[in-house]
Parts: sequence; structure tokens; C-alpha cells
Amino acid sequence: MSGRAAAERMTAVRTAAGKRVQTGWPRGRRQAAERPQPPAPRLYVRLALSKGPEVAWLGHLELLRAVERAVRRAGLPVAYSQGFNPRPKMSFASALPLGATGSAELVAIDLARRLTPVEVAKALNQQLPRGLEVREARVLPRSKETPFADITKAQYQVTVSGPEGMQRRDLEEAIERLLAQERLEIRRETKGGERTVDLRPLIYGFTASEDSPPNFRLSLLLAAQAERQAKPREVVAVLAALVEGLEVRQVHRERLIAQEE
Amino acid sequence: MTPNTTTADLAELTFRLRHIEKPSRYCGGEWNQVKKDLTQVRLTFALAYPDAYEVGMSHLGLRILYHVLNERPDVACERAFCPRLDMAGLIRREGDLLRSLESRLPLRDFDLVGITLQHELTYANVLFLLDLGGVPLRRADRAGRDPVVLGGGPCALNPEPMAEFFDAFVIGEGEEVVGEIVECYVSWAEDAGPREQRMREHRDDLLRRLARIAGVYVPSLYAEQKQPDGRRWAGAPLVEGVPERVTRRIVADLESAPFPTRPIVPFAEIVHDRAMVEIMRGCGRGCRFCQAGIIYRPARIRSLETLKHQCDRLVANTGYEEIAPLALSCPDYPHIEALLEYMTTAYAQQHVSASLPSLRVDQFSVELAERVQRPRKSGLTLAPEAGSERLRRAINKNVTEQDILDAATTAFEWGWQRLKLYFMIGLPTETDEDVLEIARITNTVRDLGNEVLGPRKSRLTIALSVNAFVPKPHTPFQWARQAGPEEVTHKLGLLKGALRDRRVKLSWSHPQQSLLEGVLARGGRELGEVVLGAYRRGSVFDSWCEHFDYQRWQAAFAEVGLDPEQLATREWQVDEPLPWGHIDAGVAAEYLEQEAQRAAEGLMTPDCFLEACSNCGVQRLVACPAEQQRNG
Repeated sequence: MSGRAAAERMTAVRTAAGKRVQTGWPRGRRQAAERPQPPAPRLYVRLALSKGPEVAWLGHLELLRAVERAVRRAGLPVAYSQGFNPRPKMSFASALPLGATGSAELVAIDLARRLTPVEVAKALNQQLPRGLEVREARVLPRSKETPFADITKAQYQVTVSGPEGMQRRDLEEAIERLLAQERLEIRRETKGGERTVDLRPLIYGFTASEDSPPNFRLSLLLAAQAERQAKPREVVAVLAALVEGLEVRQVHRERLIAQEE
Repeated sequence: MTPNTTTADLAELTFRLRHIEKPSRYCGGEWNQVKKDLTQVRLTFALAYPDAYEVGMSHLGLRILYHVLNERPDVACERAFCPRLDMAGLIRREGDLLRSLESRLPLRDFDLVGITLQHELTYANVLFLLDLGGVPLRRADRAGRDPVVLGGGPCALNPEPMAEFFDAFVIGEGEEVVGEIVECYVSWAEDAGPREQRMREHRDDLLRRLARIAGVYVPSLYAEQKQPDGRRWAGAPLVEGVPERVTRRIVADLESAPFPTRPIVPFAEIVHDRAMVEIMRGCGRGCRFCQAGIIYRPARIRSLETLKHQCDRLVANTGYEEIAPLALSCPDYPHIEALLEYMTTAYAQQHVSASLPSLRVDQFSVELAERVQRPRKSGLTLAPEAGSERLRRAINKNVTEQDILDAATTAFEWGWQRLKLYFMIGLPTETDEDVLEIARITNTVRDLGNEVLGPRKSRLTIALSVNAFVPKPHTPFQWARQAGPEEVTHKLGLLKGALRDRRVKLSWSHPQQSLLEGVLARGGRELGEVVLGAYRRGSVFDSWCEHFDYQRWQAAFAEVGLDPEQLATREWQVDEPLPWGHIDAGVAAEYLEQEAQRAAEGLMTPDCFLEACSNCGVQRLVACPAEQQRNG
């Protein structure tokens, strides 16, 4: 899916830094505020969704739509943006790469009626397709115009397979060498063309552990802001230049981490 | 039977799909999918759709049958679709087989495999499905544990070109007969022992039993008759109890017919991505080129109350953001205004909107469209089909030039700036003047747009879509000659020359695709080799322009000594035997002949649903509810 198509189809989806991909939410809120009626009771809720292997291959837009439809089936009174093409006020913190799973993908939903977070989670869980589940729900302060602006890091588990006979020591040595470098420049394709990114300052943690042989598990703590982020595949690709035959089997995001945590 | 999918399988699948485009199409698991324990059912039934997921999942018939079959506790019905070429390549490289989405069971391990024939240009896809699924392509080669392959859909009304590849065809509407097929299979299986043995030793017995079900055609139980020109098709039955002519199955009462109100909600965006209610089946307008207008007779409707209830269930069970009525001609449904009123108001709070497909060319239809499209962003489609008044009479398209202009004016007045016009070229009795009339009408509509839109006229666009006419079996034009690619190109040239405005965008069907469609539509068993030859040369997804390669087909025709152009453009005699002569679609041959005659004379036949019975003969098979409709 091209970025432009994504921007056209998505609403109120924001990146981790709170950069607006498409307008809608704030403007809608202002318009609503100008109206004479007293404000209806609202609940602004943040959900942590697990995304299992059953739905790993949903693109971000497909995931968004699947959750939107589940919300409608659950009869949750989600608020809608104003204008010609009203969209539900729902936003994901950050898109997972295609094929990746996650333990706690964050979604913010603006609901037009007072409910408890537990009620929201319960209603939604009955309507979510297999592989998606609300693990946690909590109220967000209303003042949070950009609900995910404070997300700065993401913790990943990447399962890799290596060449025959590869030991954990080999991986650990390669990681050491990688982290010892001052710069790790890669080329990244963006909407505006290719540009060079230095991955080194975006890696906060990188270790290896055993998995079921011949697989190994890499733990990665990476920057996850809109303008300052590293993707797990990019980092593993750099590692693969040091360990021949290294292949990514699975990418799993354990959690998104906010600044104050 | 394979065990149900585990999380480990899914993880492995995850790894495999990393270079595949839109991989969610191959994963299943959508909301409302039905997945059963395959060890607990007596029959596994694969519905394999011979096109990509996004096309197949948009097909209502598949969803109805999936629902009907899975309602039965003794049956597990699962889906399979044609993988796109990247996925097919992966399956082949890994030595894997095409599997169902639900339990990931290879096609070859199902008891029955049902494949619908919606369009002639999907014939190569049928072989693609079977081949990838590990099922021998020719029915004659199936033995042992191979499944029984069933065909159906509109193209099964001339099953002969595909008769080599199907063990049996269902002629007509499937939702009732499919249950009878299940009963038949289950009782045979009880008599015939374990699967391996029964399929090996008693396969013929099963086919014979199936052939006794009304509406089921088993090609192997008929002698083959050969024409002097080499064409072949079914002759007399070889076995007692097998009917000489197979009669189309018709659901007598649409009101009580099953309808899925828990349809699967795909993850991937599909072609018709919305909840659909079938408001009416069949159409009484009697356009003489239209196969659907004949093979879904008589026109039947569902009551407004039932439809409202179904809409409620659909909205609640799917979470779809859009709901639409479905019929060959929605404005003909007697309670369409009340229904649209309901659809647009009942779910407004949930932000579910209504849409309206298939308009007639009249003001009423445009007004209906206005009602469902508040923020007007998409275009409006009108299908006058033919350019001149004379030709519209010949094809029984009851639309005057004034109707077209009125509809267009209303559309512009309501603020539509994009209009789509559908026409056909190459219709019987068409002359160059008729073709030029298409351009004249289009130009007149453009002038109207300029006038009505005034200062906004620069935003006017007219999408003119022109398709070549393809004669279809069981229609009054079944004997008509088809215009060859050169004629079609000539007519398109005329049109292009007469359209000068850049805001009129002309699009047309590929002349050679139309030619192939026509040859396959009216062919006999001799074409089985051609379809196989084309498939072997790599033909697949022929209805997708980017995949269609006529040279492969030409080579396949040449190999068996056939000339497709000659087959398509030949003038047929009204008294010559037809390859589909053993299929009784319900309408009488005399009726089709009479309609062909009236076409030649330029005489219209009134709408049989709204105006007067045209005595087509279908009332022999079922009571025609139109009678009741007409009498109020």
C-alpha cells in the first residue's frame, strides 16, 4: 500500500510523534465545541490490542478496518469526525510491519457516551476476529490531543534462523561488532525518494538468546518516533551483513514505550 | 483428514508469505468464517471460485451456498480462490497444493469440489484451480480418492466446452439442489464403504445417482454426437433414468429461500465491499441480448418486511459501513423507495450508508440515486446500450432518447458532474449510422451538461464505455453472428472520429477478449482441448486485460484446427441443432425464435414483470409470481 493511498483512506491516524497523517480529528473537535448544545458525556479510552499470527498478514489499513467494523458490531458509541466523509475517531499509535505480530498495539478511541474501559474491552472482545484481543483498556485524559505523542521506543523480539552450526556466541559477537560502530548508515525509501539514515543512535538495546534450534531470538529496543525510528528488519539486515545466511522468521513487537515510563 | 491449523502452522505461513502481495487474501480467519472439525462431518465440500479472492468474495452466489451448506451439521464447506501469480509460484516452488482457507485442506482431499462458471473468460482459471489443487484436470482421469468436481453458474447453461473437466453440472439456481446433492452423497457413502475404496470402485454409481437429481447434468452418461464440421456435444443418455434434457432448477419462492445474514467480512478490500440484500431475482424487461434476463426467470421478489429484517441482521452481524440492495434492475423492485428510505435512515446513527447499483435510464432512477448519495462524489451510470431508437427497439431496450436526456438533465441538475454511459457495438442489424448515433447522443448529453452545469462545466466528464456484443445461449440472439475483431475495431474507429471533446473519455472492451468469450459461450466439447491447450501455454486470468494474451489462445485453436473468428462470426440457422440443446432453461425455443423475429421487425415486447406476460414458457416449471405482481 502506498503512503498516499494510506493517507487517503485513513482518518485520524497519527504517527508516534503525533504528526497528523490526515486532518479530521482536531478540526472536528473544534467544530463540535462551537455548537450550543451541552457537551455529551464522553470517554476517551486507550486500548492495548494483541495481534496474533492469525492476523499478522493484515495490512495496517485492513487492521484498522477490521477493528472499526468490530467496534460497530459491538455497538460502541464511537464519535465521528465532522464533514462530508465522517470517520470514526480511532487512531493506532504505530503501524506494525506486514507479517509482524504484537502483544500490545495501542489504539485510542473517542466514545460519545460514558462507559467504563472494562465495558469497552468486554464488548469489543466479543466482536474481534480471532487473533485480535483487547488486553488492557484505560482512560486517557481528555487533554491529550495527540494521544501517542509520548511514545518514543518500541521493544521487539525477532526470530531469526542462521546458517548451520551457528552458535549464540557467533550472533553475540556480531552484535557487539555492530554496536561498536559509530555510524550504521542505510538507504531508506520514503515518499520523497531515497535518503540515508544512521541507525546507530536509534538502537537502544540489542541482545541475542536461544530459541528452538536452529532459530535464535533477537531482542531489540528501537526508537519509534515518526521522524526518528528504526525498523527491526533494517537492523537485522545490517546484522546479516556480518552473519551470512541470517534470515528473519518472525517479527514480534512486545510493547511501545512512552517517555515517562 | 488433516488436523486443524495450529499456531505453529500459522507462524510458518507467516514466514512463507513475506514476498506475497496482499497476503491477507490467503490466510482466511475472517469474521463469520465457518470452520468445523473435519473429522466430525460426513462430507467436505470446497467452493472453489475461479478468480481472485477479491472477485470471488464479491459473488453473492458463493456466499449463499457457503451458508446453506454450513447450516448442515454433517457438512463442512470451505472456500478456495485462484491465487495470484506470485502466490501460485510459491505453491509450485514448494511443491505444495492449493488449499482451502478454513482448514488449509488441499482441494484434492475434499469429497466434492464446486466451481462456479460466471464468465467464459474464467475457463482457464478452472483448470488453474484444479491443477494447483492436485485434482486431475479431465474427469476421465479422476479415480481413486479424487474428488467429484461439480460445475454451476450461468455458463453451465452451455456446459459443453467444459464438459471434459466436470463430473457433473448443476443447471440453474443452487441453493435447493445442493442439499439434494449432499443427501445423495451421504446415502451413497453409507452404502459404498470407506472413502478410498468407494471412490475407486463406486464412483460411477455416485455419478448415476447424482444424474437422477433434477437439474444435475452428468456429461459422462450421455453419448457424444459429432457434427459434420467437427463440433461435438451430448447426445442421447446412455443409462436409464437419466433425462434426455436437463431442466434448470428454479427456487419457486424467493421469500423463503435461505439468505446469509452472517456473511464473511473480508479483511482485504474486495470488489463489492459491502453488505448486500438480494431484493429481486430475475428481470422482466426482456432485453434480447441479455442472458441473465432469461436464465433467472421468472422475476421474483422478497417482501419489504423480510428485507428490512435481513438488513438489520446484516448490519448487526457484519459491522459493514455500507449496505446495498442487489437485483438485475433495482428500480424495478416495487417497494424500492420504501426500502431505500429504510436503508438510509435506520442505521444513520451507526454511520452505515446505503448505495444503489444497477440503475434504469430514467428520471425515477436518478432520483433514487440522489437519495442515497448525499455527498455526491462518485459518478452516475446510465446504460442505453444502443445509440439509435431503431436499434434499441430491436434489442428490446425500452428507452427513448428523451428518457436518456431527461435522466442526464436530472443528474446534472442534482449536481452530478461525472456521468458514465454504457453502450454495445456489434449488435444484430447494427449499421454504421447506429454507431454514429452513440456519438451523437453522447455529444448531446455533453451539451446538456455544459448548459445545466453552467460555470461548473469544466468539471464535467462523460465516461463512455463501449463493449462488443457477444451472443449468448438461451437468448433471442443466440443465433446471431458476432462481429469480428476487425469490424469492432472499425466501429470503434468511427466512434473515436465522432467524439471531439476531451471531457468525453472512451473506453472499450478488448475486441479479441470479446471474440473468445463468444466462441466459448456457444461452443461444444471440441473446445475442451482448446481451453486445455491455452492453459498449458500459460493462459490464466483472461478477463484481466493485463493477463490476457490472445496469441496463446490462437495457438491452442490452431493446434486442433479451429478458427475462432470463423466460429464467432458465422451466421447460425434457426433450425440447426444447438450444443446446449439438451439443457432446458425453462423458456421455450419458440419464444426465443419469436423474439428474434420481432427484433428483426423492430417490434418491442412489453416488460413481463410490470406489464404483460410474454408467454416465454417458464410458467411450465414454476408458478410465475409476476402474474400476482401485475394484478396488484
